Amino acid sequence: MQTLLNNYAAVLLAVGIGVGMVLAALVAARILAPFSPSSAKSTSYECGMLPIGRVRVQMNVRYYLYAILFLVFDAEAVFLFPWAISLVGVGKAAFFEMVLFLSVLAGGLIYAWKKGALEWR
Amino acid sequence: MTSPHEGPQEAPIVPPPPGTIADTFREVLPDVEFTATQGTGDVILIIGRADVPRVLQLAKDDPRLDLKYLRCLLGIDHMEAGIEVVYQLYSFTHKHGVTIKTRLPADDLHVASAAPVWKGADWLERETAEMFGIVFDGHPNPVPLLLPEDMTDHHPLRKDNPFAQVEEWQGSRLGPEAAKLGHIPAGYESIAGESGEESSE
Amino acid sequence: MTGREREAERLRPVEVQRPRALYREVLPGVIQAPADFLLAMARKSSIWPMTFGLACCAIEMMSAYMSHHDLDRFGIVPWASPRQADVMIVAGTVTKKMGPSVKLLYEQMPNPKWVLAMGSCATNGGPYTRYDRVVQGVDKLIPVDVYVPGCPPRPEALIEGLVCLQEKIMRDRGSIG
Repeated sequence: MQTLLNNYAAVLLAVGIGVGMVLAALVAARILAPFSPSSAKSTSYECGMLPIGRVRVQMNVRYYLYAILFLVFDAEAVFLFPWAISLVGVGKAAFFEMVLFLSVLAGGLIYAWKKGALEWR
Repeated sequence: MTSPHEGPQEAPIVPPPPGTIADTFREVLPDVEFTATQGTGDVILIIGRADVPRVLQLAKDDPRLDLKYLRCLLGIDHMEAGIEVVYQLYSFTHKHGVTIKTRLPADDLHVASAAPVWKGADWLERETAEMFGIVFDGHPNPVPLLLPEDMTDHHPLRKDNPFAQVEEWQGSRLGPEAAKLGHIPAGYESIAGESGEESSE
Repeated sequence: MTGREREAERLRPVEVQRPRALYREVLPGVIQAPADFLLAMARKSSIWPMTFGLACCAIEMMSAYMSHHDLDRFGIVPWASPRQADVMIVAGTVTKKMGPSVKLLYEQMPNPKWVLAMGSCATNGGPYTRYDRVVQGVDKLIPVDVYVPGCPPRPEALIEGLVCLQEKIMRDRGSIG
């Protein structure tokens, strides 16, 4: 158990250095650069005009469909490979669990199919 | 040529030689009052403002005239004598062109829109409307084209606009040169005065 | 208010900010001088202009960016957004309808920022002098640091203007902020 935690000490050090670098950059920017927020400066950029229309436009559903397709094919494959290799030694329950997992993802595949995400347009 | 400080002049009416497009117009529209004059390039036909929609529609549709191309649509400010609207037309098939002018009285600047006849007249009329203050009846989208959208009360191409405001902003003076022009707008005589030490040229 | 008065309201000059960086209060003076030097050296060696090509001068500015009169060798990379830009090259005629956009874009640039007025229209109205619908020089709206005369100025002239701006950044390093 102790060696397992020791292995993760390196990960903690990496995370710490990453966070520290980001903070150092932000602090350096705040110290070295002139800081002068104004109301005009914080308006949204729209090529010199005041913004017309709302910012929160409705996200197009086709991006969500790509996320579902990614889950169905790619994330499923990631779980299928180790399961396939270790299936023999694990037992019957693992088989039915995987069937359940596959059926949930098959539901997602049917939804994407019905929405036309599999058509080549 | 007359010099500008003699005031606005009207162009003389020079009847065109026979055989020009003026005769074709008289054939096509025998009941419309024309005054035909020969301009520098085209024949100029001066019509009354009520005849404008009919004349323009027939100028485009009639096969003898076939003036399918509206080259330009503009206005001329004659101050008290009104504002003239000028339509310059050309035909690619018959290779002839004509200029049609109509005079609007200075207190009633309305004329029928040419936008139903030529699509290109849409923007040309928006520009003429904002520059002179003419209202084109039946125009599909009468908003300013080049001026800011909320500047509907200022008409830059009219002759009584004071241009000298620019000088005041720049802090310079016109000097005695401007006095010779004879057209200093009211209230700006001070900058056209005898400030001899500095000429803006 | 009439249309002209509303327009004159919109064309008031911007308020110029003179912000100071935090290190001028925090660090002692003896460290500030080399910090100023390094920061000015960094800022002048990578000027990122917000290209504001409005008229014919834009073509000469584009030609200055392209390979024959390369500006990339000075570290000058065109940057269309005001948010990461250092200098605003006003290349062309500023009409009164465009004036409020120029002002807003100048205000949207973060400090430190400079303005280079390219061509005679941006300097003092140029060929449209005394014409009502053109702003007679962009310095009536925003503060200008370098004026590049010409109609249009040759790319070499724009390069000289940008080198002058680099020298100005280095010279004024104590007061940039």
